[in-house]
Amino acid sequence: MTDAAAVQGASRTWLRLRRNPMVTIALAVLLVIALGAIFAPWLTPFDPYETALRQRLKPPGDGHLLGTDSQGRDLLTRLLYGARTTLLIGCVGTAFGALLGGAIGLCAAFYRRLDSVLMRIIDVFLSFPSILFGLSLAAILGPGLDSLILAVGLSVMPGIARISRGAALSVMAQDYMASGRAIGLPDRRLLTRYLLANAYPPILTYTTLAFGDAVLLAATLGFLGLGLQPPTAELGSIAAEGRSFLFLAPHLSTAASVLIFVIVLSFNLLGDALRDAGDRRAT
Amino acid sequence: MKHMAVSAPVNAAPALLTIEDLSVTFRTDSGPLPALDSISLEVRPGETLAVVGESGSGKSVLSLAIMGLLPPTARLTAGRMEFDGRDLTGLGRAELRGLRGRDMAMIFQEPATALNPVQRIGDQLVEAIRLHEDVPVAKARTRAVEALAATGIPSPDLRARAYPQELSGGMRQRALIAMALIHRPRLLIADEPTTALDVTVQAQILDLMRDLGRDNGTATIFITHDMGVVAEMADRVTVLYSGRRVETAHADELFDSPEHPYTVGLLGSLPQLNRRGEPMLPITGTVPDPRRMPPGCHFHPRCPFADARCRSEQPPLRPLNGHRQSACHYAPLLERLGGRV
Repeated sequence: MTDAAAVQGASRTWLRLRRNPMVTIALAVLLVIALGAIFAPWLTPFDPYETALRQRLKPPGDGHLLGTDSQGRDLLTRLLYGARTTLLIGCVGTAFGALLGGAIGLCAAFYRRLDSVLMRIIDVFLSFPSILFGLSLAAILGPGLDSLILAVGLSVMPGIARISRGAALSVMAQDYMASGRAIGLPDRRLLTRYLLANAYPPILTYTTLAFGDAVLLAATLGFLGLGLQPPTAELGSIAAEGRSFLFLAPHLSTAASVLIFVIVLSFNLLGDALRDAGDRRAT
Repeated sequence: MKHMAVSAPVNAAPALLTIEDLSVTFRTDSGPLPALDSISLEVRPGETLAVVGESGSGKSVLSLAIMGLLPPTARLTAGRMEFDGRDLTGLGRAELRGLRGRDMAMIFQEPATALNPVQRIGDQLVEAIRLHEDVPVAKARTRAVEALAATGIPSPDLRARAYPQELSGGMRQRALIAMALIHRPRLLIADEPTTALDVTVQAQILDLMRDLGRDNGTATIFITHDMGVVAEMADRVTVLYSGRRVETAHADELFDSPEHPYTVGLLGSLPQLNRRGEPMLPITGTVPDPRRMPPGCHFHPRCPFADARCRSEQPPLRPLNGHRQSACHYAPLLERLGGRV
């Protein structure tokens, strides 16, 4: 397929996506979780922070759909608020990482002089495992929403930078980049309307996949106690709290872990499907 | 003979573009790679100069060098380029940008890939207009449609709303020509603009370029390997071989009596109806690898007339009668080689 068919390619990608049932399921699941997280205050009658020690560690059912935690708080409410925090960290972190990584990748391809400097910096970032990276960053910056977002963003950034550079390099080789320059377009417009507009599909796909990793990293940091401190609800820290009562009330850790699992799985399915559908070799 | 009458330049106006001793070298992993070696040429307003050569002769590098579009791995190692009295090599990025598209424009070889696939044709034209002229969008849009109409695109208002890949190759090339000529540039560089097109469409595009060029008094550098196109379009011809100039002449002189064996070969590779039955004379072999240039004349391994002198001594570009130039030890060929040609 020639590059010139990219626009038809985009609508064909969409058609292929819609035909894939996994995409529908993953999108529906994510939508339900996201809506639940966003509208949590209106969906549940319980307060996520008010403790009721006489109600502690109740099993699921009987007024509390998923039971209560060690402080007697409704678990479903805690999970909804927790998903709110975790998704916020994951989404804002990924968005930050994608913006930064995308900009670095495009600039490396566009300004070839910067290429080796930028990419060596990216290599340094990549040489740390993302968990270790997030851990050290959260430890340095101290716990807090900002530092978590920064940690998540910086750990997804290098991968996105590499993908963007690769995608942008293949666009740079196209004649329209030279012909755009030949009509006197300034760099700013070449970068956005020519380079980014043609190179974005693989970047978008990779970013979707990175969402899953980002959510997992956010939850992991929470689980390891480097995330937001209690009593803030966060999926990873809910799972960690439940660890102490694993035999007494196994539903605590289980419910939180399953929710994390479902979110990450859905993002990965979505990303995979996007990649397959966007793959120009497949027909 | 006709060509004897025109021994003076085609027109006497001062040159719009003057290139002197331009050398371009590419930086590669295996060391510097010379692409152009001491190229000199000039074009006057209203004149069409054809730059002829095979792939690898450096003709596309030449066009990119003039536009200031060389990739960062390429370096101008020597020479001067003067456009309308301004030194092109000394211009800043903003000044160059101001020239590009307005005073000098370029038509690319592959219409299939030279338009931005995610922008409508009309929007690209509007953008090109508004880059150099402060006009409202609505007015620019009217002009864009007019420019498309001028290139003979049917229902131009409809095509303006199309994406490049919705048009045929010929129509895309027309759109590119419309874009290149939108500001009536004084210099137009056409890099094999018809190579990717069907023969019938080729003729239409050539006619179009000639008409528009004549109407605007545009100086044109026409880069091609097709001697048929040269005969159709060019006032003067410069023949490049492996990054060097081997011959420069007026077009009719060149076709009457080529003065370099390479030009002879290029003309011999051209099928001619009035020489039916005679075999075509293709040039054997390929352009030499610039990393392993043969000693002496670069063309000698492929030259049917080559002798010991050609293998050891590089022929300089010499003036022949008046303004013609050839880089062959044995030019003028007819005199020196006589019956062998």
